[in-house]
Amino acid sequence: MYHEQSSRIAKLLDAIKNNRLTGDDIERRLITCIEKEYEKGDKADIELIDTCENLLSSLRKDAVRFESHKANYHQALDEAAVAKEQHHECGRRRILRFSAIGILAIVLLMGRARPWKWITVRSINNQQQYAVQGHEVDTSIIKKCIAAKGRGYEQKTYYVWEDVVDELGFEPVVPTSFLYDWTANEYVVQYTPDMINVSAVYSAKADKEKVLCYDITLFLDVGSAYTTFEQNRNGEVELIGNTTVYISENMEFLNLCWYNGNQIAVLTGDISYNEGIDIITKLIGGNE
Amino acid sequence: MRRLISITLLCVMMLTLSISLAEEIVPYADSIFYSASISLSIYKDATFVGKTYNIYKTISVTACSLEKKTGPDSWTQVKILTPPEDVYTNTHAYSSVASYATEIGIGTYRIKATFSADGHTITRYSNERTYD
Repeated sequence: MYHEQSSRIAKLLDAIKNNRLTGDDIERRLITCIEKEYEKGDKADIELIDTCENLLSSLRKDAVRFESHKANYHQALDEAAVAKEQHHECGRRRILRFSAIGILAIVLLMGRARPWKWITVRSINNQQQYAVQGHEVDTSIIKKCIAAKGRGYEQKTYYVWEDVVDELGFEPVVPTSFLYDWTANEYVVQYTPDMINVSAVYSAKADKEKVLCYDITLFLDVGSAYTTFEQNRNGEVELIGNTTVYISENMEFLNLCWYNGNQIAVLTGDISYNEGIDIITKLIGGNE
Repeated sequence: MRRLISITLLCVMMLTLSISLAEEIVPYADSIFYSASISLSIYKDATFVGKTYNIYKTISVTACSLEKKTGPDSWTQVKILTPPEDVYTNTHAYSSVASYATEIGIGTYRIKATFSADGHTITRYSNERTYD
């Protein structure tokens, strides 16, 4: 390539020496040569351009200075280099973005693949469901209530909270008035000889598909108290006041479980961590 | 090319991770029932309790069997039991009790039961009890 260019200059010089070219011809050829070099972009022969420009300047003898495009050329090269760098940077960002999405996907996958983290007091072993013992506090009210049911196996459904209170003869702590965003659909009271269980299901006022469940078990005798709670060794623990709340997930639902004296409660459903903590804080506060 | 390798590696990582995590899934997760249990008492009766996240047309126990402990971690089904007759309608809760005094002999036993809510079923085991 360089030899080809050199030969072109040599031919040009030869033509000048032999007076075969006019001044205009020489100037035109030099300008053409320079333009062709510039068209090569970052592969342009700067030395050749310099030579041609010097020749042009000499020919014009400073009467009309040849306007060099070198500055523009270098600027264009710089811009091209910056653009190239930006392209690489963009590529790096794309890889980073892709990695971030990948990590997010992994995190989500971990969340989905570990749906049952919890729960209360003991862990399941060999597919056994263990009894969870409540604390023996004042059980006289519960005893009286169960005694009124004879052998004590019964299940009743209610739709008004006051009817539940009338049935039991006392009012257990159940989220009612402060759940502004939820509507209670049903209350169920279950009796066995050693415990009373009250559960409620709610649906969100804004979205009827969203559900919330509250379940409280009032134990009569710690020795024979059995729970329906399931558990495993994973999960989080949050201390609210003096109460330890065990937090976990069951599929897409959040589970929060705690015990207070002889009562064991579960709050579960389509709620966020903060919503759950907020409800429990109100419940426990109302219980003290 | 590097990007292709990165994507492939990421896919392999995700697949490996999902497989490894899938092994940790505890078989008690359920999107319909938030709790279901069977309690076997010293009197050889069983209390069945189930709770669902929502209200269902019917909730019942559809199958029940008795298992006897034959080793430290091994159980053998010895009898098919009659499940409780209770069927609760338009509710989120199930509770029932059934006596299996005639079916349970000497040894260590547990009960296996299947809860159903509008056809969605889950199977649970009771606590084990030893009878002399």
